[in-house]
Formats: sequence, structure tokens, C-alpha cells
Amino acid sequence: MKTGYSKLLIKELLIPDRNAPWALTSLDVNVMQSLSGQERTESQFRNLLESVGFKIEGMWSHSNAIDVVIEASLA
Amino acid sequence: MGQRFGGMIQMYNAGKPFFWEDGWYPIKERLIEGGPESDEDVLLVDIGGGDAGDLGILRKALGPDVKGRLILQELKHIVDRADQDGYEAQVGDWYQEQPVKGTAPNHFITPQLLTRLSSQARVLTCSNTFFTTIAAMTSAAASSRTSFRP
Repeated sequence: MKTGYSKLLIKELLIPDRNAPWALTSLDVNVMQSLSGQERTESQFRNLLESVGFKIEGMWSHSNAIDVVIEASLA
Repeated sequence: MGQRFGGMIQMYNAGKPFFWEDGWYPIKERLIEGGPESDEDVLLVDIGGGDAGDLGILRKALGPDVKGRLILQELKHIVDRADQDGYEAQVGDWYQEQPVKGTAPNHFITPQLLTRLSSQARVLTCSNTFFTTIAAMTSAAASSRTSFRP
């Protein structure tokens, strides 16, 4: 990736830090039981990306979609 | 399990908008403007996009004036059956350094990949696997940092 040019886009479920709706937390349980996985909260995404030198440039959602698009670039 | 999960994700996305459609991610302003000026360069690498075929649909949506290659990186058995209509498919391994570099692609990570990474993370230690992948990308960046574009 090139600083100032490349971008990392992550299209993923984003669990709100507070008052998360059950429809989202149920998907967290879903990936836990099917893949030993987990969904991430906004804080977890932010901490993870910043810990490896990325800066979040923005997050975009859509009223008819469950996922969000997170755009990050090299800090 | 991977096949079942891939099917679940496709069901989950059925009827939903694509992220580049109006009202979601402003792809023209954020990725296309200032992006590749020729079809030699890479516009977007889709890491772990599965069988969904999103890149072929994206290629049609972008139209002929938008330059740049679209690349799907996936497991070999998925690459083997990809139609590669409007995009390229190459075998990728997120434990290895990202092979597409220099031309400064935009990386795109789909739910399948992050969930796979998360599943490793819960079994191993938190976020180590994702860290490996990102570190590979950033080390590539470090080696090409002398020639970045506006």
C-alpha cells in the first residue's frame, strides 16, 4: 500500500458500542457457533486498525444494508 | 463449513444494495478520482470475495471510462471456477505478503475474510492473524513509500 494513495476498505458488520440491536448480536453468536468467530464493535475496529498503523477515514452505511464500509489509510 | 458459510453470506446479501451504489459508499469521489490512469494499474483487490462475483458486477457498473484492474484473491478451488468476466482471479494466501504492490491498489476485505481472521483470533490470541495480514501490507508500503502519488 502507498501512503496517500492506497486505501483499505472493510465491508463488515459493525456492532455499536452501546445499545446493540439483537439482530446484530445474534450474528455474533452465529459466527461463534459456526466458525469460532466473532463480530467486532466500532471500538474494536478502531483499536485494531490503529494498532497496526491505520487511520480510519470514514464509515458509510446504507439504510437497506446491514454492513458498513470502513475506509482506512496508512497513518 | 466454508461452503456453507459462503452460502449463508450470499443469502444474507441477496437483495441488498452493492456498496458502490448511490447512497452508500461514494466510490467515485473516494476511489476513482485520483485513481488509476491506465488499465495497467490496479483499482481494487478483493481479498476473500468468494463466489459472489461482485467484481464482475462492479466492472459493469463502473463502465468503460474507469481505468484499472479488478483482482479477486481467493483459494485455488474458487479461482479455478471464477468466470473472470471483467476481473482477474488469482490465488491468494493472507498468511503471505500481499503480492499486488507498487501500483498501489485499493484493498477491499469482505466479511468472509474478516470472519475467518476473527475465527483464528479467538482460537489463537486476539487479532494476531489480522495483524499479520496488515503487517504484510504495510511492509509492502514501506518499500514503495518513496514514490507515492498525490
